[in-house]
Amino acid sequence: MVLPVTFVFCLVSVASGELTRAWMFLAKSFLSGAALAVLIVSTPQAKLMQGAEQLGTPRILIQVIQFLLQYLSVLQEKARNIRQAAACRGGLRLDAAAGAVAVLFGSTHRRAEGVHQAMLARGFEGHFVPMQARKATWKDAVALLALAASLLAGRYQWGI
Amino acid sequence: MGHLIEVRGLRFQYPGGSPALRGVDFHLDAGETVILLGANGSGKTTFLLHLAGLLEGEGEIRICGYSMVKETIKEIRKRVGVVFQDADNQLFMPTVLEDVCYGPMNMGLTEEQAKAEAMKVLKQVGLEDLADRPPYQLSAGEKRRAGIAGVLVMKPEILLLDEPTTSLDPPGQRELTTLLNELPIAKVIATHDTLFGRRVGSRAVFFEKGAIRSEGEIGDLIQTFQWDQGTP
Repeated sequence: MVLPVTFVFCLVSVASGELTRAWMFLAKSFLSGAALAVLIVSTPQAKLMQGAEQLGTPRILIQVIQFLLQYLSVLQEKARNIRQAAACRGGLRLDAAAGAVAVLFGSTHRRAEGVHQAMLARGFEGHFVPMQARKATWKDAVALLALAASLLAGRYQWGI
Repeated sequence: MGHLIEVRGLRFQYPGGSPALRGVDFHLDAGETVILLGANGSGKTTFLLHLAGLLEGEGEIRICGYSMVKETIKEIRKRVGVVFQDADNQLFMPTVLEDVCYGPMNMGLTEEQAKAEAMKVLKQVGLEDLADRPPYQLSAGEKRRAGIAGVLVMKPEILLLDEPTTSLDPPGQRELTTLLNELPIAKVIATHDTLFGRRVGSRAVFFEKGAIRSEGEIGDLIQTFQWDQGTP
C-alpha cells in the first residue's frame, strides 16, 4: 500500500532532478516494507496483537483488527465457495458478480452473527482477554541488532 | 429440590418474523438427556439459544436456580455450554488449543492454567495431537469434538447441542455418541437423527410450530409422529 505512494514521490523527485532524494525514498520504503513483511510472516497473529497492545495501541483498534482478521478468513472461504459453485456452472459472469458480492456479504454477516453468539456463549464480554506479557529472547535481540546494523549501514554507506 | 432447567410460558418472535416460540413449558433434571425433535423451523434452535441466554423472550427461565435476567447471564453462561450446529462458527481462534483456551481465559484463568485445562479436555475428546492445528484443517468429526472440548473445558452443568451429528460420517457419529454417553452432565440435544437420539436420550419432547406438542419416551414419540425415515 505504501510503495505506490513512494513511487509517486520518487517520480516527482526524479522529475525535479533530485535523484538522491528519490533513491532515499525508495530505499527507506523498501526497508520499512521488508521489516513489516518479516514481522508479519514470522509472528503469530495473537503475538502481533499482544505487541501492539503493549506498545499502547488503543484497545478498540486492536479489537477491530482482531475481528477484521477473524472475519477476513470467513469472507475468503465464502468467496471461494461462490467461485467454485459458479465454476461448476460455467464460471462467474460480470453481470452476476454484483449479486454474488451481495450474497457473499449477506452470508458472511450471518456467519459473523453465529461466531459472535459462540463467543458470547463462552464468556465474551466485549473485550479480548489480554495475553500475558511476552519476554524478549535472544532472537529478538538478534533481529533488533540486524535492523540497527542495516539502518546504520544505510546511513554511513549511502547517506540515507 | 428444583429442576436444573425450568421454563414457563416462553414466547419469542424474531424481528419482522412470525412467532418462533408460542408459550413453551419445559424442565430438565440433573443427569437427564432430553432430545428435542421437530421439523425445521419448529423452534428447537431458538429454544436452545434462549437456554443459553443468547436470545431474550417473554416468559420465565430458571437455570441452576438462577432466574434468567441480565444480572445473572454471566453466572448462567458459566453453567451452560452450547455446541452450535455449524462447528465452523464455534471454532474462531487460530489453533485448536487457543480456541479451547478461549472460554477459560474469559473466566479469569491465566494462559498457563487455561492451556493445562485445555490439554486435559483435548485428551478426553481424543484431540491432544491436533492441539496446534488450525481448526480449518480438521475433519468434520474432529471439528465437532474440538467444539465440544471448547465447551467442556468450562465445566458446564448443562450441555446444549444443536444438531451435533450434522455432516458427521458414521464413525464420527459413533465416537460422538460414546463421548456424550460418557459425560455425566445433563444435556439438551436438538436433532433430526432419531437413531442418535435413541442412543443418547433418556426423554424427548416434540416441537411443532413453536410449541411443545408432546413429550415422553423417545421411541414412543418417534412412533406417534412417524418421525423416522421408514424402511426402504
